Formats: sequence, structure tokens, C-alpha cells
Amino acid sequence: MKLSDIPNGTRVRVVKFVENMSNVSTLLGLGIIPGDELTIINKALSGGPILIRHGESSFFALRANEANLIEIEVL
Amino acid sequence: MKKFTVLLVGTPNSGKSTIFNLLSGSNRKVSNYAGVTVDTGVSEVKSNKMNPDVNVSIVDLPGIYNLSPVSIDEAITTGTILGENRQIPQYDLLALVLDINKLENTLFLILNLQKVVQKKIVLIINKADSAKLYDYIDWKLLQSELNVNILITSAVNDSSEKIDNFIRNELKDLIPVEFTNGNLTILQKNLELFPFEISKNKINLIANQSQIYQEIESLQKESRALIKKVTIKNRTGNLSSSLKIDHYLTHPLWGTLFFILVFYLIFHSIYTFAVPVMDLIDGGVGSVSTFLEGYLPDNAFKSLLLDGVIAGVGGVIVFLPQIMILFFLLNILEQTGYLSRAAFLTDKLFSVFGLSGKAFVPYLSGFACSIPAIMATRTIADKKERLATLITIPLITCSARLPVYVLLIGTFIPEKTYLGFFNSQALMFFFLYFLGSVAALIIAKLFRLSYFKGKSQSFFIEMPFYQVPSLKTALKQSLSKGKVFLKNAGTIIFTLSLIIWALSSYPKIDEAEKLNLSPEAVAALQLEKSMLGRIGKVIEPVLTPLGYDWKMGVGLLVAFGARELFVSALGTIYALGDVDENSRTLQERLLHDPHFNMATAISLLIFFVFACQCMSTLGIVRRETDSWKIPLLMFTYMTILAYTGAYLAKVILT
Repeated sequence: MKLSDIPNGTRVRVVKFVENMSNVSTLLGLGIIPGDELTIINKALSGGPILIRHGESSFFALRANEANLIEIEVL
Repeated sequence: MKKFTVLLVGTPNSGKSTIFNLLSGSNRKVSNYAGVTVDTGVSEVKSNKMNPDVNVSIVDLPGIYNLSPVSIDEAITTGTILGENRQIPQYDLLALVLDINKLENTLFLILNLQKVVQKKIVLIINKADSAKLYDYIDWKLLQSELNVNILITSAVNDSSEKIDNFIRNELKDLIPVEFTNGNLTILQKNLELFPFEISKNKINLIANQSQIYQEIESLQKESRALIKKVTIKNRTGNLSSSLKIDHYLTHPLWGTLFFILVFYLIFHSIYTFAVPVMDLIDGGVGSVSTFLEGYLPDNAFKSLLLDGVIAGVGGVIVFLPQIMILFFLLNILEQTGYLSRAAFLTDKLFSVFGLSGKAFVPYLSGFACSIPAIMATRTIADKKERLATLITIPLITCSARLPVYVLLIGTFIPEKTYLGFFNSQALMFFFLYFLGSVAALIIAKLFRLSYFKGKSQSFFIEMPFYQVPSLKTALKQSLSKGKVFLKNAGTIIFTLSLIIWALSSYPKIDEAEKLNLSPEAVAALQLEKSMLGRIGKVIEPVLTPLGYDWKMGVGLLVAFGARELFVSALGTIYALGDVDENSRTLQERLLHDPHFNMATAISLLIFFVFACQCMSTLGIVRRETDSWKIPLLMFTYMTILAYTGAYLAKVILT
């Protein structure tokens, strides 16, 4: 399942980050670790970034091709 | 006297710069956007005056998400923490600043730091604006668990004494911070991000990122367990209201429309709100000039004062209101947190041109001034992407172009209103800004296909919560920019006006040559025979294809020093050539010059959109890229673009 194919408002769980993804250390630094729950808020035009909510305090955007490197399961 | 240095370290947008400003009394840029602090700011604290024995300096560093850097600005922070920054070779205390709203995700940073730095760490919990934001934690317990002292504060509301005393209490003896070597893991390929040498024994270089991931993940887990242990009741987050707003403001359609509206309104206000004040200043300058005209005897001093100083400097200070309005509005926008949303919305567009949404804030700062904008590109992780952004920033219309635009548009573009709202002059303004921005993107794309070849890889941005902007902060920012502008007018522009006046008044022509000539003809002849006139004649052949005469040529020449000098130079030259008592302002004088018409004006405007007329910009690019290659390349392509654009405009319009 790709994050970019999932409709707004869906809750997903992070399974793992794919090895060659570039912002992993920043995401981890933001407190997003495997097992955590994410919610899709909005998606910019096709292929643009995806706005994602994490818990009560993190709120970030990531380009679709990169977000798709996060292995997820839909909750 | 004991001298202490304190480092302010923290996550992006945690309020380090606000604390820095509060303690030092300085006016470093503060904004609700991650990555505004790109350089190290060092300052003595205000309270040193009252404490002659203990001298404290504080250092503001770019924000970090963890200690393994992925961009230049983060590398500066990590390197400084390691004591490798030559400007700050050692320090006595490290104050970690964290945003209370993001505590559960960022507390791991202190565990990260404690692995590297021995003792001498304190924790400042910022943005604790109300008790309900922080009373869910047993802070005493956390303090003993971490074994560091903790201060809970709201830097926006609290007094500087509170933070100042907290820091001073930690500074007793002069033993600089020591390090635990080899505990900081850095990716081999990211070593090139450091602008200074890092001693290899302090760090643990690895080739594979997964070790870093594992380290951060385990620290995050440790920190979560800790938070769980010290949490005494449920907490209420701040997120939901921001989410509701973002439902619309980051929407592909509504968000984009709102984005366009916001930026049009900014240009509209710069143009319309400033007009009454500008007229007032213009009128003031005019009446001073008229008063002195009748009062002073006709001699060289009178000409120096009226034609040199008043026409030159007065011509430029008219633009003070516009500069101030621009900075005021940009600051309001920054404070709200909207810029991160704008970066989100524009990322797709930027990616088409080989850049990313990270280019948005540098480009936006470019509307004020290229220099901070070029420094802001340090947050772009990819080197080639950064250079492509940096080299095109000066195409963005900066505030120094404003005086030129206002003068030429106000004089030569007839005022009309379309659809009851859109003003022809404001639209022309908007067009020039648009032209510069589009050109920047296209040129960036060309560079990304050739010299800085590569694909735009990634874009990541953290969204700050929306915040009600403080008018006071915006006003302060606007006043300080206004002051800089006036200071320039009083020094550089003043001096230059005197030089231009002297060069265009001497050598004097012989009395014999004046015979049988009207006063207008004498003035014109004098200008032509002056030093400046001769210089202008030399460069005139280059400008003839563009339809410019030597006066505009001289204006363009001095504008290569700084753009607003164009206005002051024309002010002086036209005042000297003018014997008509009725025209007091440069606008009126330009309208009487047969060489100047709408086509010339537009062609000149196009020249200004593209030309790299700013020594300081070339200087900063040389500093940021550490060679003359990039600034030279920048100057060359921009000059070619300017000349070609101006030529085409002239050909099309006449």
C-alpha cells in the first residue's frame, strides 16, 4: 500500500522505513518511529507533497515519492 | 573577570532566537518557520553591564532534529557542539531549548546530547504560555531523572531576568565543556557538509545509515518511556485548531487561490497604502527645495545643496514608506506560520523546475533582499539544488528595485482601474515581480539540466502551529529596516550624490560658449561637457541599441553599485539640467525629457528586473560558495539577460 494512494483522513501504521529513503533521520528525530500511527491530512497536486499528522504534536509534509518509501499498513 | 560562553541549541522553531534576542537585546530575525537561523549569532548578554565580574556571551545556532547532520546549517550546529567551530572554540554551558508543544517527540535530543557532551547541559522548556500546556508533567521528577536543571518559560511573555538568572546560576567555575569521544555517529558522505575540519577521534564515521536510525530509534524509545514515567495527567494538545485551518489552506484548489490572493494583496498594499505618505514626503522635499531656492544666493553651494543633496537624497527617501510596508507585511506573514504552508503548496511547482519547496522561503526572502535569502539556502540539503537556487535568487525583485520601479511606473504608466479594483500601476508592478520570479525558475531549470545537473530528490518540512502575529514585532522589524534604509540614504547615497553633483558640474564651460544661448541650452551644454557627461558619452554606444541616452547610461552605471543609486543619480543629473522653476520633482523633470517615454521606461524596468546590480550580493555569493566562479557566472548570465530583455522590450514597444 502506498501513502499517496490512500484517501485523506485515513489512519495508517508505520511498519518500517525503506533503507535508501533520504529523510529518515529527520523523521526519527521528529519522533516518528516504526509502530507509530499517522493520519493523512491533505495531498498537494499529483505527485506533490503529502501533509501528515503524527500524534498530538507533529505535523509535517513529505513528497509523495518519498512518503511511498514508508512501509505502512492501513488501520 | 570571568568570561563564559553559552550555546543555545534546539529543534527548529523552538524559539532559540527569541531567547537570544531577549537576553542580548539584539534584533535577530525571528519567524514561525523552521530554519530561519542559518548562521551563528554571538552576542554578550544585556545583564553584563550589571555584573562586571562575570561576562556572559550567548551563541544562537541553527535548529537540529538530531545530532547527525543532513544539511549545512545542521552541520554548523553539530560542529559547534563538538567544539570544532573556530569562531567558538570552547563553551561553558549548553542550553537545550525545546518547544513544550513538541516535548514528547524532541526530549530524546537531550539524551542524544548527553552521550556526547559531559555535564554542563541545561534544559529550557519554551512556549509554555499557559499552565495547562505544561502541568501534565512532574518536572521535579524529570529533572532528577535526567540530572539536568530545567527552566519552564515563555520567551514571548517572560522577562529576560528569569532566563538570565537561570543561566548565570549554572556558571560558577571556568571549566569548559568536555566531550565523550566517538559517541557521535556521522555518515561518511555527510562529512562534506561541515564548513570546518572535524577531528576524527571525536566522531564515529560510518558508511551505512541504518546504524544512525537504530541509535535515534532507541533514544526515542528511551525518551518515551521517560515521558510516560513523569506524566501525571492527560495533556491537551494545540494541534486541532491548526488542522482545521489547514484543511482549507493546504487544499490544492482553495489553498492555491488563497496563496495567490495573499501575495497579490501584499503588492497591492505596497503600492496603494504608501502613496499618501510618499506624496507627503515628496511634497516636503519639494517645499524645502523651493524655500531654499528663494533664500540662498546663486552660487556653487546652492547648486550643491539643491541639485546634489536634496535632489539626490530626497529622491531616494521618498521610498521609505514602501520599504517599511513590505517588511512589515512579510514579517506578519512569517509570524503566522503560513510560510511553511506556502512551501508545501509550491513544492510541486518547484519540483518541475528541478528545485523543491525548500526554495520557497529563500525566494520569498529574496523579495526583501538577496543577501539573507542566499544565506537561507543553507537549509537545502542537496548541494547542486542549493547552488541552482542560490544563483537565481537575485532575479527575484528585491526591495532595492522598488525605488526604480515606483519612479518609472509612477511616471510613465498611466493610472487606470480595471474591474473596479485592479490598478494598472499595481498590475505593472505585479507583472515585473512575476517576470523576475518566472525567469528565476526557468533559469534554475536550465542550470539543473546543465551546470548543476541533477534531479530534485526530496522535500521535507515540519508545519509549525498557526500563531496570532504580534504587530509589535512586525513594527520593530519594519522600523529597523527603515532605519538601515535611512542610514544608507544619509551615508552612501549622500556621498554619491555629492560625487555625481561634482562630476556633472565640472569642469565649467567657458563664458564664451554661453553667448547667444538660452539658459536651458547652457545647462544642457554644461552637463554634456562635464566629467560625467563625457563618461556617459563613452558608454553611450553600448546603450544606443536600447534607446537610452547618456544620462540613463550613467544611472545604470552607478546602479551597479546598488540599485537605488539609479534614482539618486538621475535626481541630481536632472536637477542640474533643469532650469524650469515649475518642476520640482524628478517625476516632472523626467516627463519633460524627450528621450524618456513609456517604451524607454519599460525597457529600463526590464533591465532592472534581470540585471545583477548589487556588489553586496556578489560578495555574499563568493563567501557562501568559497570561489569567484559562481558569482562571475551569476553576473554574466544576468547581464546578458538584462541587455537582451531590455532590447526586446524596446523593439516590441516602438
